[in-house]
Amino acid sequence: MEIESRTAIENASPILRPMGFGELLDTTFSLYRKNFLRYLGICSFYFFIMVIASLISLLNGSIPRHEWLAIWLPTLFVIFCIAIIVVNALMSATAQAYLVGNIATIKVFDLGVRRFFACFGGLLLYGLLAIITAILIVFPFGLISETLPMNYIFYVVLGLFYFLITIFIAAYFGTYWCFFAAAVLVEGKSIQDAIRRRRELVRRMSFKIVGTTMAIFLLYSVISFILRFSFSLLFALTGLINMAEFERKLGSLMFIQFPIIQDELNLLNILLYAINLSVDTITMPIWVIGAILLYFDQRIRKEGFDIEMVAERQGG
Amino acid sequence: MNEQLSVETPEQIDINYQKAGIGSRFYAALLDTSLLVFIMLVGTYVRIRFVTELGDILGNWLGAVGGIVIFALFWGYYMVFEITTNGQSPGKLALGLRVIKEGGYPISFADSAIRNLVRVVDFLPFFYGAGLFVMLINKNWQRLGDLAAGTLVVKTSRKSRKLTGVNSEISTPSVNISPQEFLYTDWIKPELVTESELSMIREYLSRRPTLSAIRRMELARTIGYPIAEKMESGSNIRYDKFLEEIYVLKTSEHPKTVQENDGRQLEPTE
Repeated sequence: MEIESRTAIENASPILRPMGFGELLDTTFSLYRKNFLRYLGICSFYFFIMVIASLISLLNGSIPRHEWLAIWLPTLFVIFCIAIIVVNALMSATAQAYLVGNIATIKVFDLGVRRFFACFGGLLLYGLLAIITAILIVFPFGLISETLPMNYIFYVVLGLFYFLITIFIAAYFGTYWCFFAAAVLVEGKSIQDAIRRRRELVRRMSFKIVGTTMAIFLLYSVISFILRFSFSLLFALTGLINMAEFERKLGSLMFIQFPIIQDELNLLNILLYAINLSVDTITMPIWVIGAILLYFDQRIRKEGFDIEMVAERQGG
Repeated sequence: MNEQLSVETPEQIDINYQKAGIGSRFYAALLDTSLLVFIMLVGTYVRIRFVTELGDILGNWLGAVGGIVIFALFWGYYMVFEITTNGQSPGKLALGLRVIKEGGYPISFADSAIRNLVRVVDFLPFFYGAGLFVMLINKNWQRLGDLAAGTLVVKTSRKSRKLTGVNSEISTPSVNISPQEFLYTDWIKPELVTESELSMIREYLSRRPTLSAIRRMELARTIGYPIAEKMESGSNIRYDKFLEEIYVLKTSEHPKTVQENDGRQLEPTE
């Protein structure tokens, strides 16, 4: 895709340059807004597969357990695969939008499917590393904490510590996977080369990069929450759903979650489910765009990628 | 993605601003809110720790004053900073943002008052939900308060940044080579180097220290090869050195006042 983008660089609208923290975040939203419908189109695949999965989830309880699991586990696997393909497509689309100025939806999906196994392998690898790291860090603290006197404050501090450690590990390996996937999708690298590329780009700057990723993810989460809460509150205020029930369900709006209908099928649950899924679909591109821009920013800073692009344009 | 806003002054001078988007404004707002919360927490601590010990009458009076201070802080924080620091609250200052009038002028007290009073509407239905929505659909990323006051938030100059970009005029590489060290001056033709090529070379030389040795060579070749081809050079060139020499010759005050010495080395003429 890099070669394609270079041939089309004459039409490229953005000026590539190293970005500061605020500029990176602002460019994320500029790209998002400029290509909103394209991104929505790509994410709609995720939306449809989740709606189908939710309908399948309604079978729970009405058929025997083993039959339910026989349907549900493959469904989960398909959702996982589709989610990877959609994220791949979003990453490729962002690279196109940033370098070339427009998005070819069919091409990005084609690339997302073709590079699926490499990204899937990378996700398994980094996921496994994240789990091992979490166990190695959390386990000794668990042993130590058992020997200490327990009180309320201690539990709160320990809980907070585990929460922050988990977030950090997730962000750390999540960032690594994003850089890995970007190398696979944008540069067409193999798994081994992509791991090497990820290492090159992140070397000596991992904390800064992980910090920026966490900032992007925080922004995405806050916007998601604001949208979920605002829409739900509007429904509650218009009397569409009961205010008391809404208050009881507030917790489900706090975090990004797997939107599967598990509770009883009433108007509140369906509306909340629809809001959660719609907001997920709309906001999903934000963190992907941010991650890809961070990848390009690293290439610009560490490799002079912007200079190279301009040189190749001028050199014909 | 380079969101520029061009403003023409009554003197018909175009001033370009870079619009601030949701990302930077969110973190500026987060910093300001954190600062406000911190001040209020300190105030609450002081009230609990000291004011309650002063007795009923004095304590009540000081409690009332504290309430007024909190009210003033909540409503006046942004206004005071925006007026006194030319449109920059501490959060905006940290993120390099500034509030200006749509015509490029500094904001007045009335502008600041309007944009900050309408903040309450922006906040609805929950934590700037309305403001977020309006910013997303407004081409200048203005929230309702900005629209009401005719203001917008822009980024301040990038001059303090280390890395600037190819199209920037800011980067000034330090190239310290004496004419005796020149290798390629016998066939370098500075007049064939365009301004855009020069700005690319300038950017390369200023960012060279941050690049790895291999990457430096690759990039120098990518930039230098088409230029060397134009000058009909030989094939065995150290491109990094070649670009340095072009830059020195092109930016020197009297680039053509060098003459051949022994066929390879050159000295400036007096």
